[in-house]
Amino acid sequence: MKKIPFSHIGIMSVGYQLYSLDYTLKSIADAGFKCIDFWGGAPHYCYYDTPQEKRQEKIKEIRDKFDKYGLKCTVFTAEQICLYPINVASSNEYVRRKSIDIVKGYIEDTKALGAEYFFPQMGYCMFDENDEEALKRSVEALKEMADYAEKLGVKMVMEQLQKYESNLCYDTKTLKYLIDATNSPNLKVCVDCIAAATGNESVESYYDTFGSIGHIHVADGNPEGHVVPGDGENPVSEYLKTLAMHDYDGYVTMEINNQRYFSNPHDAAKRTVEWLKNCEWVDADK
Amino acid sequence: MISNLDVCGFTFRRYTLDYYLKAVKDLGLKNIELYCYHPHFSIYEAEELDAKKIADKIKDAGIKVDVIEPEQNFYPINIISSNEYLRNKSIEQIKFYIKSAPLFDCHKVTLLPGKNLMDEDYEESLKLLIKQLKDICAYAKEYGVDILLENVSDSVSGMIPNMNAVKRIIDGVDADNLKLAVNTSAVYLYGEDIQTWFDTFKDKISHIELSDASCEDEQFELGTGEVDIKHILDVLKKENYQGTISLHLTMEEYAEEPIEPYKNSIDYLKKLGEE
Repeated sequence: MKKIPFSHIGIMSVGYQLYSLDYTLKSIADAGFKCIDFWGGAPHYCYYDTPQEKRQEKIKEIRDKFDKYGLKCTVFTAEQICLYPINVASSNEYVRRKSIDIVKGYIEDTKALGAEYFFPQMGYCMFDENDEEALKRSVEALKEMADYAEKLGVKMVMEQLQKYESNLCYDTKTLKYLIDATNSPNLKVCVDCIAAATGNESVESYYDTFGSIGHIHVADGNPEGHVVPGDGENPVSEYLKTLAMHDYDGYVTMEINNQRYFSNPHDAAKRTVEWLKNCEWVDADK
Repeated sequence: MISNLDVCGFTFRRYTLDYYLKAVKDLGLKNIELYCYHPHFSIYEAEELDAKKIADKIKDAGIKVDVIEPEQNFYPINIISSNEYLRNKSIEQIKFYIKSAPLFDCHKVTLLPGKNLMDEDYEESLKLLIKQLKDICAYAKEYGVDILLENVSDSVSGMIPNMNAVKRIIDGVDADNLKLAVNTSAVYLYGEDIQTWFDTFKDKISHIELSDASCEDEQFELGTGEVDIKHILDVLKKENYQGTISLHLTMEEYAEEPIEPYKNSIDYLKKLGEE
């Protein structure tokens, strides 16, 4: 059994989407976090808000800011299918091709940001479209992206989502299918605790299926919500206990991503740190 | 009243346009609030989007587009972004949708007030918003389009914390084709009464986005939250409201089964005595 070092737990910056990047990083650092799961969306950074010729300069600026605030970037979670029109499994060939190209740019950014992982998403199809064809398109795209990541030496972690987010990957079975089909040493599993809870699965079921976990998104909910631990009814402590029992030595992302906190994300971050430091499965001194 | 309600396209964003249009008819309705969102109608679908083709498909289905709403919350579209590149791209996109509106026989385009950075000066953001809306309204006038400013909660934007902020914007822009799309969830979350909005804005109110809300969430199925829907309907009758009304049900979780919240909302309206 090995408690999770607090210094290995970061927060996703998505909760700060109504604040500037400087405010975001200062708040995360002041709250006590040492790690950031950097969300790639406006106003902080994304394909749509940065001209391509200015991209390298922007990424360097962001990396310098991480250093300034003493934050390690564990994951670059570029916004793709949940909010933005980036869908690598789209039946619209224009959308699909453009999406793959955008994601390959993000894989390059991951290296330049010094992030541990990039966070690819498998895409989705319309609920009234043929999902078997969509699955083929998704696997093809994931292979292309994984090949590119391997060439650049970038590691990736991929999670299951809730069905309304991706109807191609929403539980252990569908995630395993995609990870196996992509067949890349650079692509590992990320468990999303909220998606697991809504799908009546547990963190343990992901260990049973995959043997090991590359990364994990933790939050509270009912069972949905992505709320601060304690603001919901999910067994958040149990998620961390499972990791500790498996001697998990990777990073953890607190995915606090509920619009109720968007106007005051600093409070949400502080309360999350307080909960973590009082959690019996977290080593608050490490 | 029920038969003239608009069905909001955002709810159907994980279904094809064909499915969405059929669902509207299966609900016994015929009008839509067309969202500019993948895959139905967005500039992201093609190098050059054929808006007329989409407009013709909707007309052939016997569906009327009452309002066009470019997606400006989930998407990186922000008319007051401090990032000049993003701001200009956003305006470009909005203008495309305004120019396309007549193809759909639609003369209302809804705009959000943009997203200010909450750690930046509000008054500067307000000045910029007023300037942007003046330019957009002047452009829209050329196409016979009214711009409907939508009030949103502080989980979407800090620009409209209450009705007075809307009044400042309307007065500052001073354009006869700047109207309002009143979001009933946001009015509830401000702790305000829609009657006060009618007393203040009168005929400026051109569209009602009808939804329920609670202190934890918003824009969900009627009758499942804390909004006094009956009071809203009574005010609309009292004011002899002649504008359009949408069922504006945008909870993300509705995406897998989007018809159900509309069915339930219509049933709720019927229970309140609406026909």
